[in-house]
Order: sequence, then C-alpha cells, then structure tokens
Amino acid sequence: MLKKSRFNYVAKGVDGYLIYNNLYNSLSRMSDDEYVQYKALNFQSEDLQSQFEQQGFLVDEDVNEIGVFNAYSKLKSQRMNPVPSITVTPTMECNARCFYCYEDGVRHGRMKKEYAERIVDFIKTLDASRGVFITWFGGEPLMNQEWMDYFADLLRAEEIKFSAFMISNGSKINENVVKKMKEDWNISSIQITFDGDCDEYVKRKNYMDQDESVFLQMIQRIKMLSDGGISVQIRLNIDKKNVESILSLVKRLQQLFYSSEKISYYPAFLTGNADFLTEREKVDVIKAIMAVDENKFHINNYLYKPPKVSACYYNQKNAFSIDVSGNVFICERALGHNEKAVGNLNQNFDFAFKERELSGLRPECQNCPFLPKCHGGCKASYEGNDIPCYIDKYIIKAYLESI
Amino acid sequence: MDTIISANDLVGLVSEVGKGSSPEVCEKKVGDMIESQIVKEKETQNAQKV
Repeated sequence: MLKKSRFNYVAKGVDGYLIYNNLYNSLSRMSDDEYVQYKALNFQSEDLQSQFEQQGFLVDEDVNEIGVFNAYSKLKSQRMNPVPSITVTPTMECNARCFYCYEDGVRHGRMKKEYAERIVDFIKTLDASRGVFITWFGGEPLMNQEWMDYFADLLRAEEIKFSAFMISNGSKINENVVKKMKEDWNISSIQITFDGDCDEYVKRKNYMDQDESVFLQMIQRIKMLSDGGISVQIRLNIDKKNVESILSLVKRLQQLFYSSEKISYYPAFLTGNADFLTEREKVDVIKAIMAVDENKFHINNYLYKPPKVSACYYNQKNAFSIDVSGNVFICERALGHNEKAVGNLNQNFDFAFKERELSGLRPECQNCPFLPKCHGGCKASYEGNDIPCYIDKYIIKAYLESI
Repeated sequence: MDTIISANDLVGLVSEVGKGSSPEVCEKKVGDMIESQIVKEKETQNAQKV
C-alpha cells in the first residue's frame, strides 16, 4: 500500500496542478485528471503511479518519513563542522528610527576597544583553524568604523583568517567605505533594508541625519557596492501599508539593476504590528513582485535547497552574537537583552561549549510539508507571539501558483 | 505528469531505511549517506579550487 508523502505540497498553477516535495525537492505538473487520481490514490495506470513513486510523492505506507528526516537532521548537524560564526556590534547606536526595530528600547552605546581583544581571546577558544565568519551588525555598524578597523587589524595580527557579511542601513556608504569593506573588513556581501520607494522609504527610515535626497543617494550606494564587487541583498520589509510602494520600488530596481548579478532581493514580512499581512496576502504580494521581476528572486535557491538540519545560528555550535556590553548570545535577536545572554566576555568561556537544543520545532511543524525548508523557523519570533515561519514557503507557494 | 525537477538522492534513502528499520539501522544508513555527501561536497570544493 502507498500513501502520500507528508512533505508534498500541491498548488493550482496557471496550467494544471503543481506538486512539489519539500524533502526530495521534486516538482511535477499534473493534469486535472492526474490530480483527481492522486487525490483519491486511485491510479488508472501503473506507469503513472510509478512516476509518482519515483518522484517521492508516494511512499510505502509503513515508511516513517519524519523519523528518517529527524535522524538525518540530528546526524548531519552533529557531523557538520562549520567555522565559528561571530556577530559583532561595533555600536548599538543607529541613525535611523524604524518603527518596527526589535532593538528599540535596548541599551545603546559603542563597543569598547578592549572588547576587541576579549573577542579575539574568545575566538581562540573555538576551532578557528579554518578561519572565522564575522557578521558586522548593530545598531548601524558603520557608525563606529574606528572599532571595525581596530578589530579587523587585531584578527590579522593574530593570523585569524576571516570573511565577513554586513547588515547595514547603507546610509554611511561612500567610495572610501566600499574600499575598506573589501580591503580591510573582508566583506563580500551586505544586507540593506528598503521599506518602500522614495517618500515611503524616507518616512519609514526616519533618519536623524539624512535629508529627503537619501533615497536617491541609496540607489547610488547600491550601484557603488555592486560596481565594487560586493553582493547586495536588498531586504524588502513589507506590511499592509507599503505594498504598493514596494511594488513601485521593485519596478525601479528592475529597470536600474536588471543585468547586475551582484544585486538580489527578498521579501521580509513585518510582524508584531497591527498592519501585518495574512498568510494568503503574503503569497499574493510575492506573486505581484515576481510578476515584475522574477529574475532577482533566485527561485532555484529555494527549490533545490537541501533539507535544513537546524533552524538558524541558534542551533549551530560555534555561532555567537556579542553586544556592546560584552554580553554573548546564541540568538542575534536577543542582542541588548542582558537577561538572555549565555555569558559575558568578562567571564571564562565555558558557556561556549554547552550543547544546544533544537529551536522552533512546534507541534504544528510536525504536520507542515515545508518543515525541511525551515526546521521550525525563528524561535525568537515564536516566543514573541509572532509567526516564526521563514520566507521559503511563501516564495515556493507563490512560484507554484505562477507557473 | 510532466517532471520539472527530478527527486534528489533522499528519495531512495527514505524508502530504503524508513521501512521497518530499527532506529539503530536507520541511523547507521542515514549516517553512511551523510558521510558520502560530505565526501562529495569536499571533492566539489577541491575541484572548484583547482
């Protein structure tokens, strides 16, 4: 006897039905008649049934798929040995006043110089023989470039190889900064958030030190980064009230950067405020963005993604975030919240070697076909009563409905 | 039915080890597959370096 795989997701596409399996990454198009047969598990030909089996859409009734997936996740996460990943916050200060910032109300301030030495001491206790991955975060990290220079020089002096990523609002970028990003801070990729086109962007970022020309300057900065060889991931923060403006922005970006392989974007749905989008609206917004520019979505990255064996850095050994008080966290969303720290740079570093629990796996995840794509999603969102699901499922749903 | 993307290697593994295997056998076979994946990934990385 056969049963449907618990990882199947079926959508009505523009020409028939699409069936995608989130564990086996298989995708097929069914005619209306084939869909009826699949739905009833009653196939008119052995050949058709065999195709469903080969694609993993049908499995033997006594196969325990979730058991194998759990074993795969556990063993793979044990055997993976990623380089240490350290998120540092040169400053928790920021020149933007985004209403949705999850760091709102936490302690602001700048990283002390001596913490650079302590972070290097900390890294030395981890296995950094293959290097270390640094995420420059904040606040707005570029508001304390002096500390970034000092820390990067220190890593080099200690012969600790590092590569880096930056999360920034981008407002402090100029030609000189792009040069330093590449040559001094080893940044190959940066995430910059956009909250809409022109006026909406200016209104939502609410900068303390930028005038209304900031939006056009930001477009120039993206070009500057891309020309400088740095990949730019544009995060589109979306809620009910800025959908139209986001679509206008995407049209603009498509016209300006269509041929640039260094620029990509992805939607991020704002939660925790009254204007959040429903699950259905999220899919529809992505479909609308795809209709303007599918090219920059890199859909294959989602469809071919191997099963996620852990949700995020929270579950990854050797991954830590450090704030300006020297507090160490295993979740970057906890930065600035002293009570959530697992340790402090002023202590010994025993806390670094504690085994980590799996995050996010809620009872409803056990029945979700998208589980292999997110492994439970964001624990911090879940604990804050927000929707923890990652973007993958919305993008896959939107794509299947669009083809 | 039109195949757009063919299933990955996991489809064979799950049907083989998920059916009536004891948890120990299941873990052993999954572990072997992961080892071979890791070897393949390293080979690909080395080839890219060359």
